[in-house]
Amino acid sequence: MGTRLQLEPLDAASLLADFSRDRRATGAVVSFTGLARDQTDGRTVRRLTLDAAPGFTETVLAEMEAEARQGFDIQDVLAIHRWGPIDPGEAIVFVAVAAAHRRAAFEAADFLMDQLKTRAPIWKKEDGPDGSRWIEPRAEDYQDADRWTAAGKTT
Amino acid sequence: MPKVTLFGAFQDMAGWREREVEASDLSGLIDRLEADTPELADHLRRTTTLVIVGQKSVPASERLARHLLDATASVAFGPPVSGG
Repeated sequence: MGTRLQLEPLDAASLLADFSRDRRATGAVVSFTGLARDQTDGRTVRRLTLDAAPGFTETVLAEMEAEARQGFDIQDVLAIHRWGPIDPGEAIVFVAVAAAHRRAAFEAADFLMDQLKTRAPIWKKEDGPDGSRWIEPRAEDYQDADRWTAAGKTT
Repeated sequence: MPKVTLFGAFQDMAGWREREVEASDLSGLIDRLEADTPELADHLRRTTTLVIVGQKSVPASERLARHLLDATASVAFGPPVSGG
């Protein structure tokens, strides 16, 4: 089903229902929804703003999907990332993977999220009563992504 | 002139998001940006900085080579990403 950037709010339940419909050859659908928190490291967050590089970001998202399809025994992928202003509680990202069996679906969804965290050209800014700050990637995010590189799942 | 776009924290550091910059290659463009916008000087040549020419990422290993830019080129710089 593909990958895309989206300005509008994500309805994860509706997306999952649509993704799961009429899949008679599918034994497993795994989905992940990332939500915007109202707290980070003890700081109140009133709004997130996600910056992206339209055109290029979609190209990288498509590369990640291709790697997931090549690296895991899966049938379909849907990955949607928001950009623009996002309020706490709203979904930032939605990933769903369909496969004949659960293990590949779990692993491919995990792989896609690790790639989205570390490779997708998306930058996150938090605004709160203490001011604004751009979010830096965490060392754990890179360590998580490195697992797949070590396993030969990235190109 | 090539058009430069800054993403993420870089636009706040520089105080602008898009600008045309006179340059005929990538290295010269970075020199020019560093001279005009000292706030970016420590960042543009970092291997972790994302450099996009057109719709393609330029690996850190290729940024020092003579990477020619025509007058309609679009070049973008971004700090390490933080999506998901």
